[in-house]
Amino acid sequence: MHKLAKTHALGIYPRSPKLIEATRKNDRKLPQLFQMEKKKLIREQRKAKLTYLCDPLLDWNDMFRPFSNLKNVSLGALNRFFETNTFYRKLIINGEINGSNIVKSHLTLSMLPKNKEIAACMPDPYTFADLNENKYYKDFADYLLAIADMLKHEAQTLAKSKVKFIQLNAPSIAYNSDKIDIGIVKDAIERVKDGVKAKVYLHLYFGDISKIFSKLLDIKVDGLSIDLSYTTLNSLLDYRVDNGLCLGVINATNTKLEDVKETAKIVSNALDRMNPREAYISTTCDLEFLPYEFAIKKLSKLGAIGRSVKYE
Amino acid sequence: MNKSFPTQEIGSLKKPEWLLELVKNEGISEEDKSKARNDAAYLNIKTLEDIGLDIIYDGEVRRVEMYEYPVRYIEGFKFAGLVRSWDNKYYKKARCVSRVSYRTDFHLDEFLFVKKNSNRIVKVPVTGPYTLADWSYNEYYNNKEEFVIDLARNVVRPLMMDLVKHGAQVIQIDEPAATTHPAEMRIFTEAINECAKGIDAKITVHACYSGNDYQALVPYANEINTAQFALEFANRDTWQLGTTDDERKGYSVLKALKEYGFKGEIGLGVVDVHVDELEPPELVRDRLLYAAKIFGDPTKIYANPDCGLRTRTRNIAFEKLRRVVQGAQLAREALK
Repeated sequence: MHKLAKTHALGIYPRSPKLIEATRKNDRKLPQLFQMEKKKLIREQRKAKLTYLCDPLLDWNDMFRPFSNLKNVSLGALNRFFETNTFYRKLIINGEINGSNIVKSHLTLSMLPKNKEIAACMPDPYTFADLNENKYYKDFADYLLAIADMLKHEAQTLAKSKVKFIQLNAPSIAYNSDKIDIGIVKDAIERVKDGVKAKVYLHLYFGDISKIFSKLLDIKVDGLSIDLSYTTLNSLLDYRVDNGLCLGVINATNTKLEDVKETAKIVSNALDRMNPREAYISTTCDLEFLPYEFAIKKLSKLGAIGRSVKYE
Repeated sequence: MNKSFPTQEIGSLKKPEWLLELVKNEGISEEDKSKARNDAAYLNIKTLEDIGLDIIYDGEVRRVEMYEYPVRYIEGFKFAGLVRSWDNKYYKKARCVSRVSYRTDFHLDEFLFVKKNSNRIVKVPVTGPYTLADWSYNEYYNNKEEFVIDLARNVVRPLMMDLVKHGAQVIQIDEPAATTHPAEMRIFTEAINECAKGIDAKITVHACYSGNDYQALVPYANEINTAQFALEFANRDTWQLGTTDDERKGYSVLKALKEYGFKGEIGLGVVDVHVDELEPPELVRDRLLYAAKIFGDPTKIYANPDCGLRTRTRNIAFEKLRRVVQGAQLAREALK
């Protein structure tokens, strides 16, 4: 019997030209406009028939910004986000950090339909530690584990709020795959995942993870999510995946549109061979690296590919 | 130039408010808008001359922005829409949908105007092929290298040739994306060398804010066919006076360049373009003296801001440039 792949497109979405114009003018109706535009994008996710729906995070300036509201955290300088032409504001950790429902309070979960599966994302502890600045914890291990504890609290809160799927965004792991100490990273990620009553996937993007894939498979999460614009599918085919697997096939850093039939065929063959417990199809990374119009087109492609993928 | 610490600007200045309002006004004719742009360019030229800079341009007053402006004139691109740089800042990003080619010398009019109206050395900034490719979506070429080299060969070099034909003697290739992808430094090197082929003018390369403090650039510096690298340093430096390594932390990569045997000129960023605080001329002096201490020959150290000053108000920008000139003079006196 054929198995089907599920779909989602998590992360920060691009703002529409109308919303961009309103943010430039600091329009007084901006909060309402954000809500309206979020609803519109959720409708687009539904139109694309994605399995999981999510808040498009239009009001997140970068993946760390909500955490600037944590106690003992302040905003630092702009930094380039990996090799993109997009910048994020580095957080400065000035004292002990603890979870305080930051992610949930920055999501508009109420606007997501109750009869649908809901997904959300947040940084993985290593990426959080790597891209921000520690001025308090004595060493990197202490710093990383404190972040993991904080994120665990966030993940638990999300799970209690009916979020069924949590993606930990881990570009730093993929980007630094040749020099990373997987042992300590594994501990931190498992600390986040432990006891969380939702599926937790580790999303590895902006780097080739083929050389550390076998080690990543040992991390006790529900699945790995791979950016196939950096890691070739061929380099993974010889691995048998007992857990879940999410293939990032929709390139969210290029406007070129994917061919539905061809992509679905490649993905189906790969899943046949790798035989994961469950399979997902997604974008390679946040859609915010595309202009609005192209992000919508990519959502539609994602849905179409997802519906076409069948594996044994 | 046989002068210690020659002074130069890097490119863009904030456009005057009156010009922005005027060009947005649909009731004003194109002819009048063109005259207004000439006035603004003339104002910038004369202000930069009065400040005392040795090498100038017009503040790029006719260009919307360094990426969008050239892309408008290059065959093969189509604008896709707005993409976020950070927070509420966006830039218009284009898709490359067919082979790129050069349509027209899109900097010629502005260059001829500056040349006619200035008695200083004129340096024309042009956006480099690597940055044009890196900031675009590639839907046409098989890989980035083909895309970048075609831009160098079919667009930037013909543009530079036309400028030289009309009298340009110094051309600055702007490459803010230069070191963004350390693994692609070979492509970057080949692209600049492709641009430089057959160009009878001084070529300088300006790179900025692309990460890793130029460590990726250092091993390639000697292979790149440029007379000068104009780089940003001041934003990473301390504000303490002095010429020790600790006092001049922001300039540490100079030692690496020296160790790799780089013998060209350095356009030394001596004022930070992202803060309003004005650097004392003595601080500019010490930054220049530190660079001269490492490289030996002060005629090869050019004083400039870290980057174009368009993010600062015009008053602040001009005052910062004045500090560059004053600091260079102090440095010359210190070496006497």
